[in-house]
Amino acid sequence: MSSILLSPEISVELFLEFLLLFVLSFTLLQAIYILKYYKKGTTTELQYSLEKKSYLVGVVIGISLIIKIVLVAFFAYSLDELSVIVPGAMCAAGVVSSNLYGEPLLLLKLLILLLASLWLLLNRADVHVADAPYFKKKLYLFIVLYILILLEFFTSVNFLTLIETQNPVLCCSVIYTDSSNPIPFNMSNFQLIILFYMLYFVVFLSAIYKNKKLLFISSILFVYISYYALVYFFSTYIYELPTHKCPFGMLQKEYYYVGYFIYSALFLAIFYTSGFMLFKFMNYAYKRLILFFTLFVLILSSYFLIYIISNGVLL
Amino acid sequence: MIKLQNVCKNFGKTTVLDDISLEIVQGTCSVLSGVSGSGKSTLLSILGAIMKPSSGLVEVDGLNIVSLNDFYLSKYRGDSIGFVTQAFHLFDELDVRDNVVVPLLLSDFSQKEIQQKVDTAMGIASIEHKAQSKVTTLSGGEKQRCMIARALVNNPKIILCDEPTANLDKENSLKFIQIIKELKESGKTIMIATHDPLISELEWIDNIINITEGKIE
Repeated sequence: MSSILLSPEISVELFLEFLLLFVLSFTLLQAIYILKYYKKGTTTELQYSLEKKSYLVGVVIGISLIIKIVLVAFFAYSLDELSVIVPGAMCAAGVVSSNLYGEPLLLLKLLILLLASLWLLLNRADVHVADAPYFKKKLYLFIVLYILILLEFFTSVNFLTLIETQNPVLCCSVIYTDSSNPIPFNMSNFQLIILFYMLYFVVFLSAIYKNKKLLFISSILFVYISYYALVYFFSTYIYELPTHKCPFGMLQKEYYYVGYFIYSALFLAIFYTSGFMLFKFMNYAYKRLILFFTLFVLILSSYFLIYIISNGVLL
Repeated sequence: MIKLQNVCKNFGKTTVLDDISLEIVQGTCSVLSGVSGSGKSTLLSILGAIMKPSSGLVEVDGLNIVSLNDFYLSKYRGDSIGFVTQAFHLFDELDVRDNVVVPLLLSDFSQKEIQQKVDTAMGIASIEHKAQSKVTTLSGGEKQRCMIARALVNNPKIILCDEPTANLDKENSLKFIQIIKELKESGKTIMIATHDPLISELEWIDNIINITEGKIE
């Protein structure tokens, strides 16, 4: 336990997370107070002081969430660094799966990343319109975010204090576990890839034609299938190793940190898709979601194509 | 139309403006008079969105400017308000033209449009002959006219003047008054906080608002 908490990356990560939680707790109290007494259109002293306070609250939340977003990338990096002291772990994958809290923590961080980005967008839209139409919505969204951040903090503490440093963990489960097909619906790799490209095509067309319902369904399916396509098909071409099926290894220096580009493209695509579907002021986002989904597909496809062209065989 | 309703301004426990209500019609010239410390400058600052009141409504063309966020307040100040003050607040390192162009630096206008606007403003303020002169070489009256040109360069609807003739001799004060008269005739709404009788005794002034201890008499 101590060796994990004493590692510089984790100390910095935990310290910053605690600091943010501390600041956001005070901000939460102010946000609740503002929501309780804010009455748009009134000209009382209390209302004007709340309007002033709401500006400060917005700035504090905004800065905290930007730091939070940066910390998600830092967390991925820290996990990778921890793999050196966790026996059996070859990368962050081994560290994440070392106890029960790893995967929920990762999911929480991704959800916070998405909601924090949407909050920043909502705030930007709110301050650029004279009558602040999203004022209450953004404070309610902040309360949801705060609950998630609180949950994430305690999950982080549990996860980090319970990381096993004595007994080896299973890292590449594909090698050591049973040979049952992990791909959904028992699909073969070929079927998975066909579905991956077909769904991308549907996402592309639904965005072009601004069909929000179809885009909603197809993008969720595409992201779901993308995970499996990335881990069980494309990652083998990134690592050039048929047995190495890992979502984290590509974040390492050996693979030129390409994972950060792949996941950033996917994240931005999800971000713009959510914004496009949720907010009217983001009608412009359909072009960007197409751009980032396409970028994601292109990066993955390029590894596959380059390998085929250079070696003439499939993995 | 500018409308103030029950406007109060407190600095801590000191009440500077107490329940001010008034209406100012577009295209009129009003004088705010009162002794030093009566609250004239505070009222002008509130109208110019430099300061927010503690309570009350400040409505300009139907919009309560107090509740505007900073982004829109800056836009309101930039688009609708021109300030002329007794301290000249000019950039000594720059010449007259560069001082006048400052409010347009962050605008979306083209260079050609900016040049036209600057020329027009300097023409109205009769300072175009000093366009290339450094501010430090100007007389008090010329500095004042440079400031008027800067206040007008955005073509604002409202011009707020805080003791504009306090640092001017009689001749320059009369020149200033002439410019203000022409601006009023062109449809600008003008508010002048002053105790200069040269201004408050002019027959074309539409309203004289006396403020005593933060209240309108």
